[in-house]
Amino acid sequence: MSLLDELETLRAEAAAGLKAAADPAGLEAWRIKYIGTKGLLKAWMKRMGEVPKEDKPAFGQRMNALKDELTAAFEQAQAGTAAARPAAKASFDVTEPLPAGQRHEFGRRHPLTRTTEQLRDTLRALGFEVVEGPEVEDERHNFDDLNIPADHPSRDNWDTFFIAKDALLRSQTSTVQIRVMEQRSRTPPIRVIAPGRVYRPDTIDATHASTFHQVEGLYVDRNVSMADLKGTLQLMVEGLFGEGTRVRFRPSFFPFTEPSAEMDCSCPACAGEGCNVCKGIGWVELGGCGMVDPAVFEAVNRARGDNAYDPEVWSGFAFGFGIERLCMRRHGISDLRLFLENDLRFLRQT
Amino acid sequence: MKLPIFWLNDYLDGGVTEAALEQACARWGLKPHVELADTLGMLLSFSGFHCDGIEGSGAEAVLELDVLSNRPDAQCVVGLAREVAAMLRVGFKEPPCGIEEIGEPVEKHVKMRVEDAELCPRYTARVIRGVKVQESPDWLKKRLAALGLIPRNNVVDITNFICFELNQPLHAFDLKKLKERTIVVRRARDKEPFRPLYGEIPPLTSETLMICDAERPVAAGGVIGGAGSEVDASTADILLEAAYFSPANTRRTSRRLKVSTDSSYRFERGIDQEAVDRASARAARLIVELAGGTLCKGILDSNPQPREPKSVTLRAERLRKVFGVDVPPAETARHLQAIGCEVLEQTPEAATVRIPSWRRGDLEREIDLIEEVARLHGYHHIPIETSMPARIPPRGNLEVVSDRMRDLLTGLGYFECVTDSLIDPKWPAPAVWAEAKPLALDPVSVMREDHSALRNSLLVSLMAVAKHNQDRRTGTGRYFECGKVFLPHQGKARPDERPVLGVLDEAGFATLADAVLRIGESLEVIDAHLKLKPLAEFGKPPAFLVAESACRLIRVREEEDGGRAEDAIGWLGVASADLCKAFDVKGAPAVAEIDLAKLASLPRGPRRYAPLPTQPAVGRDLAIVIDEAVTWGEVQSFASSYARNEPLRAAKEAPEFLSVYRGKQIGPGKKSLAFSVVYRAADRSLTDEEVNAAHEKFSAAVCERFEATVRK
Ligand SMILES: [Zn+2]
Repeated sequence: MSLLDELETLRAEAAAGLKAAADPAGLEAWRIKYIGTKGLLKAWMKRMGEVPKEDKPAFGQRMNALKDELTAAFEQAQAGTAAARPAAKASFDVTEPLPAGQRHEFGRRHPLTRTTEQLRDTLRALGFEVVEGPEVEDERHNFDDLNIPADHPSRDNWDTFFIAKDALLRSQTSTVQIRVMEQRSRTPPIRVIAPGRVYRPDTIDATHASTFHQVEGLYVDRNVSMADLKGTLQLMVEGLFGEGTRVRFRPSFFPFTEPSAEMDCSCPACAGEGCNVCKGIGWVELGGCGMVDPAVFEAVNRARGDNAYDPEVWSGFAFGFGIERLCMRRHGISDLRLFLENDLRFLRQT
Repeated sequence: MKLPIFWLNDYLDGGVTEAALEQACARWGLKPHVELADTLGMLLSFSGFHCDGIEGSGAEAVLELDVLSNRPDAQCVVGLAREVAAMLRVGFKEPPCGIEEIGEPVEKHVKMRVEDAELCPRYTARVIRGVKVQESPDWLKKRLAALGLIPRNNVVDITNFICFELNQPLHAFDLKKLKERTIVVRRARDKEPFRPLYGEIPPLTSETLMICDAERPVAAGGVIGGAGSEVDASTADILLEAAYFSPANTRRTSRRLKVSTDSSYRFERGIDQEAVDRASARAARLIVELAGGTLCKGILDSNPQPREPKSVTLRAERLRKVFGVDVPPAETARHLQAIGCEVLEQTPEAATVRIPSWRRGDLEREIDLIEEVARLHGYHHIPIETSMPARIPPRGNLEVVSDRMRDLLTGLGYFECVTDSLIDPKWPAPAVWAEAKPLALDPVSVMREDHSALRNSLLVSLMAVAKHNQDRRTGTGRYFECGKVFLPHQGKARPDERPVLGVLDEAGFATLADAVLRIGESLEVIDAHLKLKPLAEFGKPPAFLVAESACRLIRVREEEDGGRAEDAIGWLGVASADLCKAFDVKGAPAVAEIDLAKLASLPRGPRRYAPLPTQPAVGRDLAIVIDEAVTWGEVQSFASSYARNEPLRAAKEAPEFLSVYRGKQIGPGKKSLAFSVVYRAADRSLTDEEVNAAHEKFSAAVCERFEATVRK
């Protein structure tokens, strides 16, 4: 039997032995026996002297190939048993964060922006276009054309900041109703919302602010009724507080709508069961709404010098909500001052 | 308005009963409460009289109701009793007004002259002689006390009682104190002396309507009585005034005199002009009953223009169209009758009704009747519908651009702020958009000094936010706001309102500049790009920025004729030491303010796709030693324009900045700029030799242009 044949026998034995080694201890014993520093391969290498000179290169090659083969086979077997057992204690700590300064940081939109966007998205889906009006207004848009005459007690509800004669900070976004309808480039039907800032002289505390935000809605078409108003607001509150939120109307008075209503929605905190947020009533007040008063259409017609908004032909609804109030309901915020203070601990949370 | 249930019961057949409340609740789909007052309060809330609170229980309970400003008639117990009767469908009882006029004719005892019927459309006077002023009986004191009024004597108490029972303010004069027993209703003479019953008032003017005797004013009409003519313990003969004063003028007078009384409150909202004499009779009856005396025969009544009866027609179709509910004609009639309307004519299509005198102020048009029917029928009947046609509404550029800015900046780690438009005028006023100081509010309407001017820049507000958060060590130091600034407008009362993006970054100039320069990309601006230009090129840098850092964000557009147009759209720089000191802000934050309207006017995508290059690119780095004064921007634009004439470099592949080095190896006044350029041919792969030759040529051109040397 030539040395090469004997080598072949060794190879077969080693392969069978490796197959039989089932656990780490068996593998280790195999490693020592065959490829360890005092193993059989090393011993065989020492037999190089016995090989005829002309066969030495072939024998050497064969030995090296066998060594590579057995080593690879061993590593493969080792990997196989390693996969079958739990990983050794990792040095890779997945909970370890990036060093400070290298971390991804993202900012956040202001909660008032996000509440406004939520309203806007729902109402856009219902076909409402977002429009804007000036924050510094004249008396005609802020009062007269909204059917709030001078020397009338209804003006008491709208205390105003003045800058100069006939220049004031608008006290409600309803001004945009007039601004939109008097645009000669538009004719009914009209479907718009106008989010924006409004101002009223008031003491500043947890529940009062002199600068705050409202969103106004206006829909004018041929057959608009209070049922459309209720339906629209029902969808709006579902967008804000989730499906299943309900609305209800209570009679109210605004000079620019008739009939007028206060809108309540089922308390988002307790789903109408009654809790301390809603003082046990199950409903919370959200804002005012109603059917556009014909006097407003007439004022618009006067400003336009035409009869584009003939109250016999067109009817409409309008609503106005305080964005702060909606946002407070959404997040459970109880202090209005937080909105304009911009404390990052507040902005991060909400 | 306070509503005591025991008083309310005076005018209801059988009073408020559990049974009536339960039936009403059933009609409205409501669940009755255990307490009678709670149930009544709930029902009133659903018919337009929001119940704010309840004190006491049973018939002794007092409801606190919000009476809306269009319902002056309900500012009294009888007015609310009409509402409750309509709601509960129980009978309403008018208070008794019958009188026995057994004395001498009233003309014999008093003369009356109304000189200004415009400000005083109706004035009546009765005389009661020989009364005995004394304490009121318990039933009267109890009713006044329930409203929080302090009983004084029977005559004064009766006038107060009528005010809250019938909404008719009255005034009782001691007849002997009126000079010549005369009443003249006229405007005041300029600075005419007059002392009110209490408090002090500014000098009178001819705009004030006064009730006078033969010589002097004895009361400010409808607002407040005067000292010296009032009823006291010695009074025997009374002149009882019942009038209707002009609402607008009462309101102006009350404001000018800075006096608001139960009387002025009612007159300025408008009372029932027709019921003036009835209220007077009711008061006279009570005075005779409680204080004795004899009622003179007749009444002096100046009412030159009595109101004509008013009727209004309500179309069923219109009601359905607005209310969204089908109300049967019989129901419509019932609701209108319940509030005192007399149905003159009714067909299935329409009902014509006469408006009751106490509702003449708010029921004038068809829509007013629609509201009443809707209110009394109940808003709970309104179905939930949406019949709006589908539509995709257009989006405004400003809205889109503001949204994109929020996306970009929050993505880069900035927090959006919303700050007050009203600022402290003592804050420094950086002239970002205009030299002028912030617009001040009219001092009359100012509530707080530190909120009395309109901001003309977002910068100051963001500095205040930085200060707030630095003090609390809340981290990041990156803020922005999208908001309006207010710039005085030459020759116009109202300022220019400019939508602006303000950004503040405590990490410094380079970080903020990196963010701001991404705006163009985030907006998909086409045919233009945004870059920073040192302010030195515009003139003197503004004082609120560190001079060397001051720069403008400009939009560069390639013109069709090959020229370039530039348009400034914002500012950027490091806040000056003075500005930081003014706000006590640590470090030197970088700040930017950008005109959102200008951003919104930039032409935006979708951008055109350019085919990807088919040939590989070969990059080469270049480091040049250059004078400090030369900016990267200059090198960059040279490299770009060089590329335009160089076939081996594609124009759109701008040179990329790698680093800048300053130090001993370079020497003073110099810097080393490293950047990389890309070579590419349109039709083939370039060989090393070709690239090397092109790069040599480019390096030489750069060095020649900027007197630079290549750094080995
Ligand atoms: Zn609740």
